[in-house]
Amino acid sequence: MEATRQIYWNVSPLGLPVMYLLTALAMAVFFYGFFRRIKVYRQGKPLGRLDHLPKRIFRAVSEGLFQGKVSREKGIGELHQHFLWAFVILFIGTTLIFIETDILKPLFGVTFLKGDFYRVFSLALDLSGVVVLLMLGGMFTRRFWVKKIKLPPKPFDRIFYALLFLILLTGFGLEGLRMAVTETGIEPELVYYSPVGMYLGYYLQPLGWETLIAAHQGLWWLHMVMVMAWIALIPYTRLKHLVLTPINYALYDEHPFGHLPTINLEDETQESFGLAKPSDLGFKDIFDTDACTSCKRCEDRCPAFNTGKPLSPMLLVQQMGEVCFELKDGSLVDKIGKDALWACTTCGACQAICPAEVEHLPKIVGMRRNLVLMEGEFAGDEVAQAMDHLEVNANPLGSAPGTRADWAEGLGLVEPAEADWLYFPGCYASFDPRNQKVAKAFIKVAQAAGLKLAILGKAEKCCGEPARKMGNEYLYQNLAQANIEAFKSAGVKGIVTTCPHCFQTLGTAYKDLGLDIEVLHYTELIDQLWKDFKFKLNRIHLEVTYHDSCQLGRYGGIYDPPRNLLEACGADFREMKSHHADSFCCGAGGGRIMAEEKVGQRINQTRAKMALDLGADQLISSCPFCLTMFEDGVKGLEAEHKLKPRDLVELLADALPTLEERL
Amino acid sequence: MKILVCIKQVADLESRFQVASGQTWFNETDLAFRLNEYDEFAVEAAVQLKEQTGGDLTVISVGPARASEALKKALAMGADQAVHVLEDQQLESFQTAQVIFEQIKAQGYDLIFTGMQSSDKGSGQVGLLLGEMLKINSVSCVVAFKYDGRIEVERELEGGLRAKLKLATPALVTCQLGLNQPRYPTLPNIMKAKKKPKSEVTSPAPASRLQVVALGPPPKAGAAELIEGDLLAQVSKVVAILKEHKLA
Repeated sequence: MEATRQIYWNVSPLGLPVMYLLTALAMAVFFYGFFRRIKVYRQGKPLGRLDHLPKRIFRAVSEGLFQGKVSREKGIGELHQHFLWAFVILFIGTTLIFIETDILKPLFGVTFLKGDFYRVFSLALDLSGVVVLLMLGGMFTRRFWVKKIKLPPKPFDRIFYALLFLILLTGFGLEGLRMAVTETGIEPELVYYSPVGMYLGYYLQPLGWETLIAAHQGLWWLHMVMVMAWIALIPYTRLKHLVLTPINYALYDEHPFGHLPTINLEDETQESFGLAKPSDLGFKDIFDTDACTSCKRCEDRCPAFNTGKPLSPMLLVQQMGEVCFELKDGSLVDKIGKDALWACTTCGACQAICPAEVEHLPKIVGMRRNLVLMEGEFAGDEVAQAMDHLEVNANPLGSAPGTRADWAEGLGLVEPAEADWLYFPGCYASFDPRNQKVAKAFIKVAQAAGLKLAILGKAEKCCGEPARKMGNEYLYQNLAQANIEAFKSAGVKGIVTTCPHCFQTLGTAYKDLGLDIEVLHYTELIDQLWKDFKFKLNRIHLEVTYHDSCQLGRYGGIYDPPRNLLEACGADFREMKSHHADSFCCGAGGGRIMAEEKVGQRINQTRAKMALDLGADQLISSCPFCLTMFEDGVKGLEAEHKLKPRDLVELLADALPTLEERL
Repeated sequence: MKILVCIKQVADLESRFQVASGQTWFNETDLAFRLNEYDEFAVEAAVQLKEQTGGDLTVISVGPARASEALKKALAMGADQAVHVLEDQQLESFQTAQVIFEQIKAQGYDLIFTGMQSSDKGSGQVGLLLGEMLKINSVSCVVAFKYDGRIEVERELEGGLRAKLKLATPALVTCQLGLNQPRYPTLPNIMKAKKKPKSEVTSPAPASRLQVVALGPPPKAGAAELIEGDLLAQVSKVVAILKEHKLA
C-alpha cells in the first residue's frame, strides 16, 4: 500500500463543519484586528513607499525567511531564526493539507500527500515540531526566567506562549494516538518517518483501541480550538509582528542609512515644520510604532540609555505609538519629553540593529525640527550659542571665519583647479588645535602618495551637520547652499574629508540639494593609494584598538579601509567590546558636540573605558568629534598615561619613511 | 502703540581685527557681522511689548548694505517693518542719533528701545542723545521692563544695586544684558519676514563733532603661553622659561 495517512482521521462528523466555522470566525477576528489599525496609520501623510515593488517584496520575503537582521543578535536571534524556519515548515505542511483536502481532492480528485512525498512531508513536519518546541522552550526560558532580560510586558504574553506550547504538545499527542491505532505495528516502515509519533504510538498502544480513539477525538477538539484561538490572538498580542514585520521590511527606505528628509524651504504653503503630532508623521512612521516588537535591542545599544540619560529608543517609538493610537492627534513631544529627544546622539545603533525595520533617526530629528523651527528651542543655552556661532561665523566654535585657512599655510596646497582632490577639513580640523594636527598629518600622507590637494579656505563653511541633527534644518540648508555654490564656482570634481560628518553630509545629504560630486573619506582614499603602492609605511609597534565612528561605519558602511591601514603599518590591533555596526558612540553625534552632557555618566568616558579594559596603548579613530571626545574622556578617567587617543592618519604619518629611509 | 527699535550691525567680537596704518577704522574684509548683542535685548523687549499691547513695531538701522541682515533678523524676531538708512561712513554717536531723529521725528513713537551700547564702539550715547533730541523721557541700562500704561524699569547700578523707576510715555529705553532671553526666530517667522515692508533711505549726516585721531590695539601687557607635549617636555620647557627670566 502506498505511504500516506488519512487526513482528519477519526474526526467526528460534527468536527469538520465546526472547524470550518471556527476558522472563518478566527480569520474574521484576525483580519478585523489588522484592518482596524489602518485608520491609525492613515492619520499620517501618504506612504510613498510602493515604488520598486518587486525589490520590496523580495526584501520582505528574504529578510522574513532568512532572518538576516533578526539573527544578528547572538543567542536569541539565532533561536528565533531556527524557530521561524521550523514554524514555516509546519505552516507549509498545514497549507499543503488544506490544498489537498479542500481544493484539489474535492474539485479534481487529485491527491499528492502520498508515497515518497508523504514520507518527506511526514518527517519534515515531525522534526520541525521538535525544533519549534525546543526553540520555544529556549525563548520562553529567556523571556520569563532569565532575570536580567526585562522586556516590557504586552497583552496575553504568557497566554500565547502557553497556547503555542499546548498546540505543539497536543499536536504530537494526536499524532501518537493516531499512529498507535493506524501505524505502529501495522506500517513497520512508514512509522520511522514520524519518529516522535512512533515513540508516542508505541508508548500509548497498551491503552487499547477504544480508549485511544476516544482520547484522540477529545484531544482533536482541544487542539483545533486552541489553534483557532491562537490565530485570532495574533493582531492583539506581540504576535502581530508575524504580519507587520515582513510588511515593514517591504516598506524599507531606499536612501542610504540615516537619510533624513530634506525640507523644502521654498514651499511657502507649508506652515508647520517637523513632527509635532501624528498628522505630521508619515504612514511608515506610524506603522513603525506598531511594528516595534519591543525586543529592546535598540535600548541595549543606545549610548544615551546606557549612560543614564532619559532616552530609550524603544520607549520613544512606543510612546509615539500610544499617541497615534489615541486618535486625538495629540502632542508627541509632551508624551516623550524634550530631554529624551535632546539626549539622542543620532548614532543610529538603534536603527541599524532593529529587526523590525523601525526608523528611529528621522523621527527623533523630525521632532527636534519641530522644537527648533517652530518653538525656537534648543538642547541648552550652549547649543543656542553654538547655533549663533554657526549663523554668524559659519562654525560652531565661534572662531573668526577669516582665520579658517591659517592652519594650512606653507603646507604646499594648490589651487582647486589644479588639485587631484579638494580637501574639506571642516570646522574642527580648521580651528581646533588638536585636530589641526590631524589635518596636517593627512596632507603629509596624501602628499607622500603623490596627491595634489587644495582647500576652499575662507570660502568653506561648516557642512551644517551638527545644526541639522539638532533640528535646525534652516541653518543647515543655508550653510549647505553656500558650500555647494563654492564647490561649483571652484570647479571642484572630487572631495575628500577627514571628518566623517562632513563626509556623510557632503556625499549623501547634499545630493538632495543638488550636489553630485564624488566625496570620499580619507580612509577610503588612502587605503586605495596603499593598495596601488603609492606610498610606503614603516612598521610601528603599538597595541591599538579602533573605534568605528557612527558616520563612517553605520552610516557610511566603511569598516575595512581603516582596519586595512592599521594592518599596513603593522599595529597590533584588537577589537573593543562593541565594534562595526554595534560600535558605541563617542557621545558627540547628533549635534551633541555642541551640548553639555549634564545627566548620567559620560558617554565618552564609557567608550574610552572599553579601550582601557582592552589594555590598548592607543585608541584610534578617524573622526574629529570622536578624537575630541576621547581626549576629554581619557583626561576625565585620569588615564592620559595609559591610553592615547589618536586619529588613524596621525599613526600613518608617523609611519611614513623619512627622506633618508626612502633613499 | 507705536514702537521703535534702533539696531546696529557690528563685527563679531571673535573676528581678527586689522587696522591698516593711518586708518581710523578696522578693515572689514573677512569679518563676520551680527546684530549687536545689546540690540537683541532691545528687539526682544519691543516684540514682547507688542505682543502685550498690540500695535506696530518698526526697526531702524543706520549702516552700509550689509546691515540689512541685522534688519532681517529683527523682522524675523517679530518687527513689522524695517527702515534702513544707507550709510557707508563710520558715524559718531551724535551723527547717528541725528540721522535717526530726522527719520522718525514726525512718527510719534510711544516707546523706543535701543541697546545700551554697541559692542564695536561702546559709546552708549546714541539712544540717550536721540531721547534728548525728541525731548522725551530716557532711561539707560535697563535690566527689567514692565508696561501698564506707564513703564516700570529696573536699572543696574554699581555694586550690584538696582534702581526701580516709573516713567510716563513717550519714552526711550536702552537695554542692558540680562533684560531678557532673545528669542530664536521660528522658520515660519523667518519666511514671513521676507515679505515684510523694508524701506531703504538715504539721509545726509550732519558734520561730525569729534575727530578720531587713531585706532589700534593697546600695548601688550604680557601673554600666556600654553605649554604642550609630554610631561618631560613640559617640565623642561618650564625650567627653560624660569631660567630665561632668571627666576630659577
